[in-house]
Amino acid sequence: MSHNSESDLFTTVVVPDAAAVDRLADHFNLYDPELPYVLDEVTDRTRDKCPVLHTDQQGGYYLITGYNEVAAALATPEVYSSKGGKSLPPVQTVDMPPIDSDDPEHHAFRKLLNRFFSKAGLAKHEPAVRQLAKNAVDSFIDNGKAEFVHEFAEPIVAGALCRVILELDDPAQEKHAVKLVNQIGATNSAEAWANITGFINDLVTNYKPTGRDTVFDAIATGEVLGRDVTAEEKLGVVLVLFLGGLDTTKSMIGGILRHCAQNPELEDRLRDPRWTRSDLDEFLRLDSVVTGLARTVTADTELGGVRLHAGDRVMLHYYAANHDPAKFDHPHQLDFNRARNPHVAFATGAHRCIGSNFARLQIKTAFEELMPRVQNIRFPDGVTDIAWKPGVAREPMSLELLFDKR
Amino acid sequence: MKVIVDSSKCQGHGRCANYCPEIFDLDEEGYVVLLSDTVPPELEAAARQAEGNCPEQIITLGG
Repeated sequence: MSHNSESDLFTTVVVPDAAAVDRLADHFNLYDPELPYVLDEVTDRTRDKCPVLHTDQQGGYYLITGYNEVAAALATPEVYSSKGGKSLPPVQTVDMPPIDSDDPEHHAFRKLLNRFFSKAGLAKHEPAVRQLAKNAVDSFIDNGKAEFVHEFAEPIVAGALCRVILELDDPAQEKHAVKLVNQIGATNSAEAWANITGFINDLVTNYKPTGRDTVFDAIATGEVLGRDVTAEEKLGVVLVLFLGGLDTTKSMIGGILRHCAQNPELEDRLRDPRWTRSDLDEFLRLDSVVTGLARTVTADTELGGVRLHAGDRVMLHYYAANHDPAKFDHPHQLDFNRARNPHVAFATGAHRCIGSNFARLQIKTAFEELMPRVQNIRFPDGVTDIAWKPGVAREPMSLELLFDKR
Repeated sequence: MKVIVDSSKCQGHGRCANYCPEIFDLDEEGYVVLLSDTVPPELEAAARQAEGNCPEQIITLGG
């Protein structure tokens, strides 16, 4: 492993060697700092060995890398349970419905929440999201350069989440919320979890229903399975909606801009307002920013010819499924002409990402505000790629890019 | 051309409505609502895209 000595910590691109691929293919470790740089090679290798492959890391689990195997598990949530959390090993302290729920609770929570995150339910927030995007572009447009994750994506995504989910429109509180979330990303420590949990718990606990149709009102006054939502469930719902939407959407916006810097011809595609109808899904497939989420097997079963037993943990690797050559030709390349692209970047089945259309709205609006005003998006001299944060999310550490004003 | 959707298996991705909103609408919660079970020739290409890109693979065109 070598580092570019010219760069500081946040732009250091790790260059793994073949030994890293061998090591990670034999001992797949979700948090290895070299993994993001060799994810294609390592997941191809493990899939070739077996699409349902046991690894001894993170307490031992099965890594599922085949598209058909991931889709089959997602289609049978009664066997591949969401209870007990979706991280490996399970570190979170709060049970977060609906992502950590099985039916009937799962369905009841989705019924309560879905309408806020449908295309129709989100339409009223579009002007506010657009204003956030416009403000972000204004903040750097005269500089000829920007760090697009923190100067562009973050204010849009954090601002949108603060308004739509937390009902905050105070910039100071918004900044505080983002800082708390970033601590989780940076340390995943118990203290970081306690801080964000405490902050959101205060908001939820002190909330007085307004009679408006909002997420907070729905959980404060709505019912699941004929009963009130408990205090712990309220906290869990808001926590997962907020955390689930932040780094993911931010990383996707950053990821698309990284592709622009690598492929100058993409800029014109992104200026065509129709790009979000289809091209966006090819970016979603290729980058799969939530690389995977875990499940717990509830009964002895078989997947991809491998016997699984009740209690086994499995990692449904969405990134690997979306790069399965049996499903997608030349899977590691952007190809906007795919006739079929049923990717699982947002998962499939009952646990389809509740925020998928919220993410789409933010990405669409962000690029509608950015692309008419910039051109010739490029890496600074001597830079050819970005540094990734270790972890389950495929997340750029930072994204320093140059551009010309249009 | 006829179109069939197993709407009980729809999970609200909304991709069909992106490709072919003339045939695939979405309800308040984001689930598919078929506006017509017949696809006119000028919409066949768009409906084919909806079929091929549905992550739940519940859209069938034919006949």
